[in-house]
Amino acid sequence: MMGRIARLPLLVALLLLLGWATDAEAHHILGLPHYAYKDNYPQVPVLEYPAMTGPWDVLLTSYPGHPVPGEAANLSFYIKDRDSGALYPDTVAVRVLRNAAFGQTVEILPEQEITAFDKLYKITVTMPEDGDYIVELIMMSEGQQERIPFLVVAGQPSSPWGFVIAFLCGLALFVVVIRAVRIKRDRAAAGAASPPAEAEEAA
Amino acid sequence: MTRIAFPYLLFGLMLLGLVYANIDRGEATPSPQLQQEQTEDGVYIDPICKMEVNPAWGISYELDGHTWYFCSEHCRLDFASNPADRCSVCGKPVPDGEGVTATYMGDEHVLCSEEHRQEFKADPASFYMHTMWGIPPWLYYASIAVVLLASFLMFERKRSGPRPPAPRPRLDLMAWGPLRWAFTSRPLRFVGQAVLVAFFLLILAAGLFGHQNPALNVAPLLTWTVWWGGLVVVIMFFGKAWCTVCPWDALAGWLEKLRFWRKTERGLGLGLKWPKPMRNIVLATVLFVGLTWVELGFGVTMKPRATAWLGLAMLVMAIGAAFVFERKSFCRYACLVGRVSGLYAMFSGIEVRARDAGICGSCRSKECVKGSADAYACPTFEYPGGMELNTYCIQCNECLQACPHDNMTVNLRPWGADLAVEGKPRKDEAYLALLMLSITGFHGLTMTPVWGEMTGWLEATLRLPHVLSFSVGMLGLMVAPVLVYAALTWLSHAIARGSEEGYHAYFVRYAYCVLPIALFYHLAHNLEHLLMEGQKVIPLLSDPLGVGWNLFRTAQLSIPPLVSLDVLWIMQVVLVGVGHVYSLWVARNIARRSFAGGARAKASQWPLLVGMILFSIFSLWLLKQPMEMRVSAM
Repeated sequence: MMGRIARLPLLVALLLLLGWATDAEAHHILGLPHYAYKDNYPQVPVLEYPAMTGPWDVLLTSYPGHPVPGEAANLSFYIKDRDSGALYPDTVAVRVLRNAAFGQTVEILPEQEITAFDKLYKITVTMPEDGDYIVELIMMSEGQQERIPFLVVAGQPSSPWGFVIAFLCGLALFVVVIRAVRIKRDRAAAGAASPPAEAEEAA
Repeated sequence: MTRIAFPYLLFGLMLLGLVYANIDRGEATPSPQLQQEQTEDGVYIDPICKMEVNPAWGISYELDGHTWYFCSEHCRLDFASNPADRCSVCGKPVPDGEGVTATYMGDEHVLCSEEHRQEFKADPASFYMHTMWGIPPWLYYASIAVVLLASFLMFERKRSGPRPPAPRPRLDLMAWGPLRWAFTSRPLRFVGQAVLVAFFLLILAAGLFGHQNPALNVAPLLTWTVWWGGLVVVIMFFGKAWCTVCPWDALAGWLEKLRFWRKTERGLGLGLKWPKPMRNIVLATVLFVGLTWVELGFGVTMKPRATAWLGLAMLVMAIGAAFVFERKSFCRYACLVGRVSGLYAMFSGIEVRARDAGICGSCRSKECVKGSADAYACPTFEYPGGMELNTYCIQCNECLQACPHDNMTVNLRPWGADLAVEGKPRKDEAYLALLMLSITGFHGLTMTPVWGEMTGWLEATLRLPHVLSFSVGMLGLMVAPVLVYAALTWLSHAIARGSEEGYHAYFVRYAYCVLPIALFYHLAHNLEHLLMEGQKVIPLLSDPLGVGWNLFRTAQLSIPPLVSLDVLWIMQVVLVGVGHVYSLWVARNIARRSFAGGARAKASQWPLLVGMILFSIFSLWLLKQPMEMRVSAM
């Protein structure tokens, strides 16, 4: 009897909690957690870049959309004819460059030829360090070779907390040093302004 | 009064037009049956150039009961003459299904033949220029030359020789009670500083902790487009108002004084004197050049965290100087923003001056220099009673509060007033003025494909690594205008032969005449950023760190450019023209002060006139180039 009474508040609390429960804002697709990045549909955290060349519409998707250095980013190109919807029939090539300072680029992945698999041209790229990368798609369009650049940012450049803490500590140390110098200087000035006690007595 | 009011009326009307056009936008909302391509936010896509078009600014055209919107009259005419696409090279209509295409800067261009496609791909920039449609390029280059020549002759027609001093038109703003209160209220200044400090901290937070894609982070746009572009507009109308509320100075001052607005004599700093050899603006000039090198070399305008680092670096310098040196030595000698804006402020339409020089002359207590119970002494070591130039005034308004005779005031005045007076030409200011001219041109050039070609050529020819070719290119482009100026002033000095001063003094004196050119070109260049991409700050403020917030429900807004390309182009051409005419006027004033005879004064200006015409043509050519927008990755 006592056991049942003791369990009652627990059950009431559980019922109240269930009453407050709302729909979870996440669900799973293919075993990966997905969140509503856009209002209209739950979207996996990818980067989508549309582009076009000649009659072709190109869509690059990257998962993850914002890779960290050392993490493999799965890049997929979907290429179709804008009017007819027909898929691009040939192979394409991809090259990856890192944007260095002063407008210079460094080749990270040399040109790789890719064949379509399940309507997509897929390649996995690992960005070695933080920075801006250019994923260059090379394809034939209207008899000409086209190079389409896509900007991908890799990683958060290292955590800024260390820098922020160093800045604040440096600032505090600077203020303490300045304060110490100031106090010493003020004391020296006060000492020089007021004559010593012996001199006063002698006078 | 007309001279004072003119710029305000002109720009006020432009602003009203902008507001009106955007209010009108709601009425122009299209019906859903229209066939013109639209984004999901209802923004139209120009069918000719594929630009996004604000229907309020765009040019409309009725076709079969439907309204179409275009970015410019050129596109409308193009579409009206033949709704089919036009060849980007020859302009011939290309019927649907015929012709070939090429992509440049994300836009698809239709070409009538393979031959024209190859021609387009070889140099797409030349077919992608902003041009005054209907006018061949040589004609408008010639037009600007004619405008400058006509202005020169008009200035020279005015009577030369000694004249009685004309009254300086001024409007005393302190005569109006509310403004008087605003200018002298310390708490109000604190409120302004607090707002700017909040924005500064937002930039730091977004830059350090936000998403590092510049299209998703508010820090680069708020700093390099809104602040740096808007700074010039502020200077023109409100002088050194930025310095009044500068967040770096505010934070440094609050820390050093441990007070927000009340005056205290007990600061924490050492109050040392600024070293004598450095009592000039050389340090500020070096920092300005260094900032340009870092900004363009490392692409800081596209890097949120680097933007935050630069902001912090300025804060470190401001705090360091506030704790070590007396008053606001950093503002006076080292702040690159303050010194650049100080030279520009010689042109501005506002000033802090003494009402009556006689009262200041007879004043014995000199509170404006020594400070009073409620106000500090002039923080930038000026004697406000005798101040004739805005260069070193930071509009802190301490002198307004300190003066026991109520003799200090804030005046509205005509543009360029400081450049019309004698002043004391200084070597360091002259070189900074010339470098400002060089850097504005260099800055514009780096955003065009020409710069890439130039550094590529340097790399190939001199076999230099990229960093060096960039630096050599920058150095060359900064030094070249100074050398051209040196040659022109040497010629001017030699032709006139009436000046009592030596060549170097002559070189320094005339350097001030380039300031209006630099200022107006800076404005024209940044107007493109401000009006074409500045509006993106509205969605970004809803999600400043790019982490998926929607604070003001504006994160999903897609706002088209505020003006059409045609309108922007006209504004830029007008601004460049106005800047050069003002420069001619300044050169005329300098010449008349330098030479006793009118004929010598006139002769001395011919070489400079030629230089100005060449530079105006270069400026207009530069503005025509396809400019890379900073947030084009969006």
